[in-house]
Amino acid sequence: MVPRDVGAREIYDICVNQGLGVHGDMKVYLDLTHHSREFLDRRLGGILEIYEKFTGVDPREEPMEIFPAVHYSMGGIWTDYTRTADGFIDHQSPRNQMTSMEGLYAAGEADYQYHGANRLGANSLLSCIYTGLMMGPGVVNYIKNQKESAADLPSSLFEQAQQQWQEKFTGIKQMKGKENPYKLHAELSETMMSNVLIVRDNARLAATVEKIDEYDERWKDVECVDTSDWTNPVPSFVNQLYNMIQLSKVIAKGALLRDEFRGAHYKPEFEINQPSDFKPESFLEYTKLKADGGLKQDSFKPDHLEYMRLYEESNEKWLKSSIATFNGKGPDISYEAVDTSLIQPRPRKYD
Amino acid sequence: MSNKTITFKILRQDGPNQPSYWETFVIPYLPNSNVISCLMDIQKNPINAEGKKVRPVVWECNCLEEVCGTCTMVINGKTRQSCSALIDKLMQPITLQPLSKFPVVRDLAVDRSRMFEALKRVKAWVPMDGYHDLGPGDKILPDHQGVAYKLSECMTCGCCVEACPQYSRDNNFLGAAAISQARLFNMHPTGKLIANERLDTLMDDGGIAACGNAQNCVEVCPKSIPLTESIAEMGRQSSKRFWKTLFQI
Ligand SMILES: Cc1cc2nc3c(=O)[nH]c(=O)nc-3n(C[C@H](O)[C@H](O)[C@H](O)COP(=O)(O)OP(=O)(O)OC[C@H]3O[C@@H](n4cnc5c(N)ncnc54)[C@H](O)[C@@H]3O)c2cc1C
Ligand code: SF4
Ligand code: SF4
Ligand code: FES
Repeated sequence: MVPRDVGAREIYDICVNQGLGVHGDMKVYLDLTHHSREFLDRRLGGILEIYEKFTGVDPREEPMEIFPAVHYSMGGIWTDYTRTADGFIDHQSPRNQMTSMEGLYAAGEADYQYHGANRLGANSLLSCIYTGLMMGPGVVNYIKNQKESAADLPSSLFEQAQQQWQEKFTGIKQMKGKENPYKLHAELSETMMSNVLIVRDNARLAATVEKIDEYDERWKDVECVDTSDWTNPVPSFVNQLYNMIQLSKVIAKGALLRDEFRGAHYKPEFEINQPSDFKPESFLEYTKLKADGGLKQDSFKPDHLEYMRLYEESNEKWLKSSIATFNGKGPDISYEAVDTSLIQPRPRKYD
Repeated sequence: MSNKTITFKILRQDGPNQPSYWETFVIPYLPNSNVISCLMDIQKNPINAEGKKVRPVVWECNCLEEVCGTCTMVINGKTRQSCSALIDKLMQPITLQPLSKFPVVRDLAVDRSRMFEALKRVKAWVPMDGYHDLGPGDKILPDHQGVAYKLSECMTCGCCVEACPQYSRDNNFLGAAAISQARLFNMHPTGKLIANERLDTLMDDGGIAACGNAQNCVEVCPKSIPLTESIAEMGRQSSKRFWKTLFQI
């Protein structure tokens, strides 16, 4: 097994660069037929049944046709935490998982912690559970420390907020433009899938940023295709579509500005080739020698030394989270250093 | 079947207690479509067969891979998930109707709260009294795990109760799904702690006795959950509890 970004890139290479996809499509075979039916049913029963139902092909007898798809959002809402004196997390702090808005918390896939440039398989639920556990006592303590509760605030505050949203949705319902919101959404998604997904290229990213600005303009010309008042999903969808356009800008601009290859953020232009006989631990030795002033030209093989130098340089520039701030029109991107106080980053290697 | 277009006849309803009406849509054929991808195509171009611009059809969906159960509807007379209903395998015109055992919210969206209430009635959960470290849980044997895994695949979709002759809008039958979930949680080493409370509900009004053993449920369950086996097992557990309490008095 390889991590999914590596797998996805291999599939992309086979299908796009080599033109060898199954039936000429963005698909490759995943063959499980060397396992017994009993083994497959016991270990993968549910998922194989779904495959069979959707394709009409028995994956226990014939290789499956598979393709990469989006199934997680890496990055998310900025959230805080409080350190203890010995560098760990203070599990009682009301700051844990609090966003940049006081009293507003985010946990799980919505927050930006833990899965910056890549998420390892099966680690999402782990981080959901962890951030949820960490946030719970924080919220309780935050409430305990409050002198007043929501009930003590003037009702006008809530009425204003309600009015603001009512006006917003009334405005959306009155949109009578030429664009069908669902069609515009399909275009946005197609643009993002083809340009900001598995392989990223600066020229195409720059064009994508412009394209999303066009969608932003076109959103103003949307028609709210259902204006009824009962269980009407259209106004909410139009509202969400606006947010999706803004989020797409964040993703595309963040990707454009980041001139490196890190995790699932793959820019072939900036790939540093790891020598095949390189061991990740060498990097720890390298930094130690460097700190002690003992690093010599022959401490490592020349190609290893060069690789580690480039890796270090890339980290100095880019071992940072991109922070997007809304400026009223679109995102401004700034950077925040990644906290590496507990574990020193090292190159990854899969073989 | 023409390969150029797909025809849908959809039973629509603007809201609860509103009259329902049939509306026909003819959309271009695309390979590998399913009912949901077609409903999405209708959203993009909401024009009915008479060429009239109408409001897009309302339905519910989430996972698009037959694991959440929200998109259940009656398709060509059969209760099933619309995401896994492949167009190439359906006779045309394709009829879409909301589930009949639940109140219609709008068009194909229904209110399945009754199923979730039933899960609450049978306490379909593992009781926990905090998030402190409880130490390692009890070991679960592989064959036990095999049964539990199958039962845990229930997605509260409603197919079983839609097909059940005993489940009607004017009674309070729990339905096969909830009975089967009671079995799942009665198997769990911690869930077992409140096994008797679950059995009391099953022995009460609307419980196991309401099942007429018609076995329709097991026929339609998309996850092939052994529902009649679950009902029989819960019947056994209930009688055991019945006799036990009888002799204690
Ligand atoms: C196909 C697939 C397979 C996966 N497999 C794995 C796996 O094997 N292992 C693993 O660790 N992870 C896996 N993941 C990832 C993992 O499942 C998710 O990251 C995780 O479930 C997210 O949980 P969450 O509670 O943070 O967010 P969600 O489960 O997305 O919950 C967000 C909730 O917010 C609600 N909501 C949204 N907007 C509003 C609003 N405006 N008001 C009120 N409520 C709102 C939504 O309805 C939803 O209930 C998988 C994901 C997918 C898609
Ligand atoms: S038992 Fe089967 S049919 Fe019934 S709700 Fe669960 S998955 Fe659906
Ligand atoms: S066995 Fe028959 S009566 Fe009993 S729950 Fe299933 S369908 Fe309903
Ligand atoms: S959308 Fe989840 S089961 Fe169909």
